Amino acid sequence: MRINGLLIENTFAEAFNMKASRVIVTADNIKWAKNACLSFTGFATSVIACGVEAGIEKELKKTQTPDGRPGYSILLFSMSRSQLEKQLETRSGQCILTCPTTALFSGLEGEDMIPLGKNLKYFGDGYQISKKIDDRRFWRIPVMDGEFVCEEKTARVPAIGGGNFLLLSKNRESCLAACEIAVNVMSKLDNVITPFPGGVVRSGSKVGSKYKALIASTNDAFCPSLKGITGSKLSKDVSAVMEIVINGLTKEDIDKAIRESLIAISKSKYKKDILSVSAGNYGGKLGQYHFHLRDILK
Amino acid sequence: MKPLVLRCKIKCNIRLDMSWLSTIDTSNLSLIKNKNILLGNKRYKVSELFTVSGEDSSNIKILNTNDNLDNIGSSLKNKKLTIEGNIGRGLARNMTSGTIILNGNAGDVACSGMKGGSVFIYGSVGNRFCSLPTGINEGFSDGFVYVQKNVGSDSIIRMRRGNIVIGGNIGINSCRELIAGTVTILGKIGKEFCCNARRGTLIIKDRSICKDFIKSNSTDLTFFNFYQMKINNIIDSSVIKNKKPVRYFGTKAEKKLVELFVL
Repeated sequence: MRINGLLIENTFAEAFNMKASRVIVTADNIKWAKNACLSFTGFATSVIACGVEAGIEKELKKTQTPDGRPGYSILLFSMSRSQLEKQLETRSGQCILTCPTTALFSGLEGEDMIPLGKNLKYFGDGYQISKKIDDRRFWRIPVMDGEFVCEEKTARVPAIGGGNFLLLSKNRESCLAACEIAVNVMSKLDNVITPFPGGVVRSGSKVGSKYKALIASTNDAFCPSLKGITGSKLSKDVSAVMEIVINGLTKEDIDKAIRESLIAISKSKYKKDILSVSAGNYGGKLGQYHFHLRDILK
Repeated sequence: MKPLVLRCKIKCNIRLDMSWLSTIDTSNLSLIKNKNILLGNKRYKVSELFTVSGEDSSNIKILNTNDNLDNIGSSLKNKKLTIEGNIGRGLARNMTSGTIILNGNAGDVACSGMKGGSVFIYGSVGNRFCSLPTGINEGFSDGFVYVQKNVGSDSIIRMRRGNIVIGGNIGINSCRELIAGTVTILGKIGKEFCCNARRGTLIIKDRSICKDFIKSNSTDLTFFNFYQMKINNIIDSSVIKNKKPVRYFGTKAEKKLVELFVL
């Protein structure tokens, strides 16, 4: 199958059930909101070692935030509720509470609520003030630049992590440029994030390793430098492969992200260097969701 | 579904307890019409005192009301009541959830013991508004109340949480023993205001009470603008208009953590 000449392999991405939450960070200006968000979403690329996968979902205008200040929405994904709770609280406490002028609000509504400012309030040492408005509780914690306003709880919803596709390219430069186009498209979509640095992964992994202590190791079948030694899945012309991992709140969100970003790549000048588009899977036995590239692009 | 509409047919001097309205849980019009209610020492059918139409018992409209209809919205739960005209005592007493919109004045003891829900009163309210119900230690436990005009004396006693916005004046001896919550008063404030308060936030225009509070510095507080936005959104009108209020924090006498924003 080809989309505007871009070859789409007959394969699928394998993704997993996760738990997600959304928070909204605001500040006096967008610069300080971004500082807080970059800190909050730092070291949150993969649940393998980071505990949580997080990323900035989108920038919010003054009219879109609860307190009328500019901000960002952040999505967090984790494999378990306890890990999500823990990461949300520690990151909020260390990265948002500490950042000047910021405030933190829930960005999701639902029945399954997890703590946001519920325990951060104790930083107020008895001077914290609770305000309940519209059945939502907010905490005002006195800090040195005034006060930190933080919503008590946010919702947790089921979500999907690990949607992906791989770009197999003639050269690294075009591969990265095409990935940037895809990430740029996805950054404008709601309900999805690309948690890796700049949204792109170069170290795709397979399950297991020759070393017993490791649960994952390099995906040798897609390493151009190992062609000829291992059971490579790359043709002789491929010299760079990069992956984009997509986490989303629903399957439809990830479908849309894959579809729109691949169409954007297929219309770009880098298309001629992209030999094919593939996807990462584990044979279909581990993940609960399968994203068949050709079905998505039909 | 069309809202259930009750039009009052009578105008007498005997008080009528309307608390039965909150317990209606059927859309069967004949059942509602035949429900027995007491007026004085006589038992009447609802249809003898009210013209009843519509079907949705979770959305009730009461028309042509008078000062003798008491306890409307008492212990209300998950219903919307719209009232056209003045009403008697005990509006929204012990209400737990739902919405009440009153286009008229309410009598004494309105919103006493309220535990949740929203009440919008486009008129004035009598004495002991948001006061302590008998045998209960907290007067107003939660919810939102907006009064467009004035409020009588002995109001808002031992408020625990929630939000009250008063567009007009408030009588004497109000906001006594405030525990927490936020009260906005845009008119004049009577004497003996906020005695023995422990915590809570007051947003006021009348500067006469400022002398009892410790003036705070002019720190930018995210909360005030946020609160202003939220309340103006709920009321759908810019009732609180100020970007930089003067803030007082703590009572001079007892150093209690009562917060005052002066618009």
